[in-house]
Amino acid sequence: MKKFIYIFALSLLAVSCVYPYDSMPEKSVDNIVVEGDILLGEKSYFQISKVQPLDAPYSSRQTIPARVFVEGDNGYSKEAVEEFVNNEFRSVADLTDIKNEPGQASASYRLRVVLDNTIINGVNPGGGKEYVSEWIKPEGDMVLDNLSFSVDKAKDELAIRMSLHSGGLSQHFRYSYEEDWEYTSYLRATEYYIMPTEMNPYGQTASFNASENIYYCWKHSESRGINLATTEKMSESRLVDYPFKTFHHNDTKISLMYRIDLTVYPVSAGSYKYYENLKSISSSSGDLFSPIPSAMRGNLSSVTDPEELVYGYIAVVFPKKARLYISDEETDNFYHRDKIPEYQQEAVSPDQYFDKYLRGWRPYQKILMEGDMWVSPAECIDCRLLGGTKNKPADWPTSHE
Amino acid sequence: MKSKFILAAFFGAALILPQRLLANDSLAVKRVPSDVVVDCLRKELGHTIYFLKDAEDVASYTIETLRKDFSDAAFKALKEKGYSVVNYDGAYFITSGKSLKVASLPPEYFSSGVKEPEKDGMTVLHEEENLLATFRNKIYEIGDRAVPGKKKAYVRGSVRDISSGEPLVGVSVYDEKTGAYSLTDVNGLYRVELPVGENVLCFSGYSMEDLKLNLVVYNDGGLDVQMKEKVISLKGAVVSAENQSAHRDARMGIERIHLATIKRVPAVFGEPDVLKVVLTLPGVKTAGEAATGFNVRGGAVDQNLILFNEGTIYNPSHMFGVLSSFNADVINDVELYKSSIPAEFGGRISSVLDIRGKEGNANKVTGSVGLGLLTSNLMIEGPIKKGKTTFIVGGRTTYSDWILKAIPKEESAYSGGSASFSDVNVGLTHKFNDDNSLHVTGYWSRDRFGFSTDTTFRYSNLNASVKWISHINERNTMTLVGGYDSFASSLQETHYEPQSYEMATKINQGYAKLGFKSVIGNHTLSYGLNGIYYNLNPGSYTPLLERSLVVPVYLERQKAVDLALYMSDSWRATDKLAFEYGVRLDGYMSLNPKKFYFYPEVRLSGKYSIRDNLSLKAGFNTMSQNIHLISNNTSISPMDTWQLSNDRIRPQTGWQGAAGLYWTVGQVDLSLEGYYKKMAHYLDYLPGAKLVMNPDLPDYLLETEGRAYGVEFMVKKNLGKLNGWLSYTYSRSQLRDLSERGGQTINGGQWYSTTHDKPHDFKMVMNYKFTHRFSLSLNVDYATGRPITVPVGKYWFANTYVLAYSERNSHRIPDYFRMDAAFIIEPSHYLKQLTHFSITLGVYNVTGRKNAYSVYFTSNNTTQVNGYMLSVFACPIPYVNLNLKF
Repeated sequence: MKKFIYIFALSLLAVSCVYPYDSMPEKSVDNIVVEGDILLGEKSYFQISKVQPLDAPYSSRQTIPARVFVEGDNGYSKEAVEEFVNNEFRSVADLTDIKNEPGQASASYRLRVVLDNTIINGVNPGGGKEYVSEWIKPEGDMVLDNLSFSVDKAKDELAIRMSLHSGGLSQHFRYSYEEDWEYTSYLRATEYYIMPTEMNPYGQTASFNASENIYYCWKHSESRGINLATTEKMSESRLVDYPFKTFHHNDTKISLMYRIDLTVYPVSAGSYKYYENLKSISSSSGDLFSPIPSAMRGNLSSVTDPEELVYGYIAVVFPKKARLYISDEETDNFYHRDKIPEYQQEAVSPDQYFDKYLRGWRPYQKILMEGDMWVSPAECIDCRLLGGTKNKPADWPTSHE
Repeated sequence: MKSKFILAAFFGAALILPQRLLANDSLAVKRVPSDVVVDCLRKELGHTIYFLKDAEDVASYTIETLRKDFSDAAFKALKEKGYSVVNYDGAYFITSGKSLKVASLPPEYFSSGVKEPEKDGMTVLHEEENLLATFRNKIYEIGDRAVPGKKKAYVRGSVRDISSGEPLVGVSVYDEKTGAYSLTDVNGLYRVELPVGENVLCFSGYSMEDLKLNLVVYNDGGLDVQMKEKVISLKGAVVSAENQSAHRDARMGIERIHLATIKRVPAVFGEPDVLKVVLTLPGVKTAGEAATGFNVRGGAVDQNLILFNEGTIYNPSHMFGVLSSFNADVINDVELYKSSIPAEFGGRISSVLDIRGKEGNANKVTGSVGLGLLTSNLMIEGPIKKGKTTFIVGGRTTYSDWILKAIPKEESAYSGGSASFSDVNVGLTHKFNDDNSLHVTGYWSRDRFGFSTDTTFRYSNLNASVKWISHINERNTMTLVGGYDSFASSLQETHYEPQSYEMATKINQGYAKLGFKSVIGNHTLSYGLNGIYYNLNPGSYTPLLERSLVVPVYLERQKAVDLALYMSDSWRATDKLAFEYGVRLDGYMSLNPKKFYFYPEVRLSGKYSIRDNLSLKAGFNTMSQNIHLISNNTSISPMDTWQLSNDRIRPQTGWQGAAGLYWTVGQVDLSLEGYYKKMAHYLDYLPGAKLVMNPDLPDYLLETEGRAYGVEFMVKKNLGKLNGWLSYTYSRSQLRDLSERGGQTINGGQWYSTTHDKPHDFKMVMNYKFTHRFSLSLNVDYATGRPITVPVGKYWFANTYVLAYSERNSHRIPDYFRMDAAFIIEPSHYLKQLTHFSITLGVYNVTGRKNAYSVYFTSNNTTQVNGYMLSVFACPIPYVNLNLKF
């Protein structure tokens, strides 16, 4: 009976389906996009680009060279240094000379962008146009109290939480983070394979030095998308243990050692609304209860054509940062890795080494009695094949190599 | 042939007219019709004769005999042609068929004014016969014979279903001879002016057997009538805007749906659904097949006034639009006014959907139990005091919550979710006497829904009303209604305890409606006063869990009074020409802040019948609306709020002009209607507008101009083994932003499509009854895909792609096509059987077409943008419904 109910329930609810929709609308706008915030006391990065067709590949992203200035109504002016990194232009304004002190903290700042006027591949993407942001006062100060985490096995959730407060009654925040984590391959290899030679037609194996292991790896990622938090409607502008990132029990990130570097800064109500709209229109779930998407005007405008819609909303802030490490020892055995299937571990004799090698298998452990070897698919042995590198981040707390 | 007949009649009449003959003189009529023979009997022999000519009698009579034998010869000749001749109280009654009965009916067949003859003679002779079967062959005396008569008299009464005693709405009551016409109103009442003397009053409508009653009218009087279902036709699938009303009523754009129709049209999960049947009518559209609400002739969802037993329903759906919130078992009938909206209705600028519940079976306690895939329901009705008081109670609930909980956690994303709803209807009707009755109704529905354990939506409707109907006299009826409506919704969020909250909105309204109907000659006047007091909570935001730091916020309540005085006249100028015109003076006062709006509304429609079966109609009306749904979504969501007009939000206004051609060929009704509609202050929203808990909401609203136009073609066959309708509509619905906001003006100030602008629309609902026990229903729906706003580019921002949007609603989702089929088995037809059982086997979306519910694009924080199509019912959905009546 229970089985019947279950099958019936699934059939009832399985009628709703999502299918790929391949008909991409044509690109019909050519707006300028200005990304970046004026991070006081920090290095600020700005990038100018244009709207691309929806089906354009990631690799075809085009940035526009520009002269970028951070200007203050107290006479402050700093031209950003233009860089060309990974085939992209970006401008770096070193604002470390602006301190969170009266005079500088109470001034208003703006961004001024003058696009390049040169022809690249037959087109002039910038056209020498000039854009300015509104004059903006730094958002109210805030304190990032701490970062912590909690484990809820019943909900299969490890949550990273932030606590912060600010002086105002309510405040909106934007945050981003960078993550580093150390992980291991499924199997620890003590041996590696050496290709066949005349002397050893099947190839041979040799032992790793401890520092040459392919067991420990590190990986790095940066947060994607628009991350927002708010204390709006709360009695005080305080977030206590606010969960902003969660993991399930089999997430490799928390397998051994995890580090998160969080950057938070307060944003204005206008900026918050702008980003909330961007987030909403870019992450539809297809229901009919989402607002009909539309573009909002940010706080940048063209000097020559005030009607031109410029994408971007510049914030002026003193950002706050915090770091948290999570070791697997602290998580009460929350992490469980799926076991490697037995059929992916095989004992082979030396004459089978090369054949297995060609099939993508690698040795990982000697069988002493026979001189045979345990082999397994390379991705079970080599942690680098899981996307990481052997580049250990600076200040990493473990001693693994 | 006809000219010969008339000629013969003329000569025949000429023979007998010159002078009174002696007994042994010869008297002859040659090749004359029966009525000339009867005329001869009356005038030459002085008999008092009531004669009801058989409509199919084309026989000619030749009688040559002595004057003293003429009566016998004439009666013999008439009998030979199939007439019955009965002498009663000195008068002869000549009727077609073999039997005759003079108005000696059971009490429930007549109201006051019908004289009941004594039980003697012929009445006694025929007492053993089935009264209903001989219904047509009776003569009803209306008014008192002794009171000196006028030339014309009023006959009024009610028309009810013979089995349940429920009032039948929209039944055409007419006299073919004089062209007198009336349509039963929402209480099943009619009033018609007839000449004194013999009349044949016809009743037709629904799937009821046409009824022709022979009347002898002396004076004003009453005649209550009961009609029975036409057994030979399929009792379902009849939209009862019968050809009679189409050709006699000046109003246009009215659709009536009977309970049987609702139960026959295949619906998702087999749940009989009022709103889904409404969607099969031309000119009615929806944003999606699981979307709340509907759009009529290009209007917005909130521009439809949905009335259920006089109360306003603000959210007519369960489970966010999958099902409507009306239990089909307690509904008597539904009327949709798309164009000619009667002056007694107002407050919305597009349409009125008037849903009326059953009163309860007046004859015996009955009920039904229904078991479906998603819900089950129970209904009991019957008399409390026979002839005086009836009741009805209905309830419905779902097992969806139980189903969701049955899904193992690891198998579905729905596992943490919950969904449930229920609704209850109660009704009590008490007849104080023949002229006064009281109707008390109550309705409650509630929904609870959550896709995760952190978020729960709730909404509920509550309606209660008391209605007093009084026949003041033969010509005047009064209806007084008082009631209370409420709609409440809430959202509870517990994801992060310090921010856990409950957000709630509520509409409370009390109303009173006083209406009169008076008949003066060819005029039927409707006039009255409607008043509504609104008290809205546009939003409250309060802490939910113990450690919540949320500061309670209560938006200022909105209060207003809306008073409307109306008067309209339905005027039958000639047999061919009829008008309906009226005015509704709407005065609206917002109490906080104080702001008064006055809007006179006009109702005008006219009909000209080129032939009995071919009519032309045209209409024009203006409307206004003072309560607005604030929603920037494609479909109504539970957290959308309603807003009253005030000093910053003006009433929405609109006008509609329409014209139509109606042609009846045999059993088939064809109609072609065209319309053009303009709407002002139609609300749209600024990009990124925050619509909930926003004290500065007017700053984010845009008043746009709307226009809609279209042509609706419909073919309808109400009777026969094969019946149903098919329609094709071409229509457009567009808006224009007239504000001067430079580059921010929506679509540059040009006309843009509304979200329900679907130009081509084809619908078909067909039933075929193989036998009394087996029938097949088919429902086909095709429509152009609805407009959507699509991204026109992307840009890299915040380490992901963000979508760039430009023109609003410039793209369309793929066209929509769906076919449903249902096979209905009704094994038991024996009237004396205690229970009647029926089974419906059906398939929703027979072809399994993956219709797009929505098309959307998202980067999902990745390095590429993908397009997706969500299909809600993407495969054939079989269902079985069991229904037991007792």
